[in-house]
Amino acid sequence: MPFKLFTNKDSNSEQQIINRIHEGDEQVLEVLYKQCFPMISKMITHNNGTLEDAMDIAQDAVVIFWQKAISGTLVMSSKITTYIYGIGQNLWLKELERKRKFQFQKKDRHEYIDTETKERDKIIIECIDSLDKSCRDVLIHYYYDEMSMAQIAERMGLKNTDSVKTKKYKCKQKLEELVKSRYSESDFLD
Amino acid sequence: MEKFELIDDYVTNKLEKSELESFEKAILSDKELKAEVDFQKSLIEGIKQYRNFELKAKLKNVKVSTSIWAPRPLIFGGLSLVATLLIIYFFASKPPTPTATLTEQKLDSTAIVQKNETPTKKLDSESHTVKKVVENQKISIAKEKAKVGIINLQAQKPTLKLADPLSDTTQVVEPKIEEPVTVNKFENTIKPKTEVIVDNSQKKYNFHYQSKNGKISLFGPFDKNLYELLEIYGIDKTLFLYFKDKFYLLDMNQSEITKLVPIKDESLLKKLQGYREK
Repeated sequence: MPFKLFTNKDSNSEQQIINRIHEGDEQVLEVLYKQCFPMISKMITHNNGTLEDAMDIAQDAVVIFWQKAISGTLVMSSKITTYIYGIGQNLWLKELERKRKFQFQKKDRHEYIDTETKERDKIIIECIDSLDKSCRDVLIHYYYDEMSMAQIAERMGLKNTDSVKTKKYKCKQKLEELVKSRYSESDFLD
Repeated sequence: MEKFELIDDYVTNKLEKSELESFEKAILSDKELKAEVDFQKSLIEGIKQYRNFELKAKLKNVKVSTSIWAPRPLIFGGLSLVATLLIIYFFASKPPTPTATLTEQKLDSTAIVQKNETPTKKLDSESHTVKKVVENQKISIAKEKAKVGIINLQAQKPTLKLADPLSDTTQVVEPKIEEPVTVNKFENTIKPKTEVIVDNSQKKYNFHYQSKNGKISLFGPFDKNLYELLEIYGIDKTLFLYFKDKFYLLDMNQSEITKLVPIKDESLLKKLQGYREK
């Protein structure tokens, strides 16, 4: 069933969106992005940003909203689009601040640490990417989507919760090995 | 597996309060455990980042009409700004009218000619300005509209800034022209505006006028046809009414309701006609 554009005034539609996010319906992501892009774009292009900046920030804002909705940490006091616009505003303010600091400050230790952390994160992400899809899925469903073992079993067509538990354990172990082989343990454990 | 689960439950906030307290104590005393916990946190953070990148990558493939959305507010904003400025400019150049409401169509029906930039003519001795005010007051709308209710409209033209060649309010003198000067409508400080009230409800006064508190009341069928007021500035302001091809003097000191009498002085009529045509 195609997902129709919703009207924000309809609170049922708002709840429907949250429900669909919980179901993992990624079409909602697209709809939200298309709805929020014009206003985020306007805000950014009027504040020293380009359209590319606007797309980047709008995408991040929608993804952050998605993550919050998934994790149940979402406290809604406004319409979804307004909420996402607010996230976009904060992200752009941070970006402007980062650019300002980058312009006026020399590289210092903090930046060195940031670079090191980024490098570590990059290795982990590359290792996750090298896992097979079922491993990635089970880890994402468990750690990102915060699904229960039963939900994962149903979603992935596994026999039971024990199967999920075992698969998750093995996949996590595999990931650890990959990461540790790419990066000396001392870098993580010091 | 047990240790793995314990660490996993800790980093995913699934431990009970009592378990959490004892585990946190263990972390404080066991450096190796703390390092392992940090490593697990990094992995989970990495999984979350990976998923976010994955979702963002999906959005990167979504086409949003940047060429339409971005400039649209600029275009509309620009157009509305220009429109606003034009409206402000238009109304700022008009003397305020009490109930001026005018549509473009209705403006056409008044057959008003606007002269915003007319060269002025200067006198040797004294510069006067003729303010020609053309008013259309309470235009009766088409008959079918009248069935619903009479809509009274009052339209007042922006004043024309002309040099007044009159040295006297009652005597018209041919101006001596030095050189044409372009009028700046905002420079002129004389505000020609005499409020006119049309009253056609009194049978007794069917073609009369009255001056009261600086306002002119016209009694008669002035709402049926176009009339014009000519304000001529000399020592004092003198008002002339132009209605159905005739001129009438409106004495500003006439507080009694007085019958309108057409001016018959040929030379005065010629001058008034001349100013009117300007």
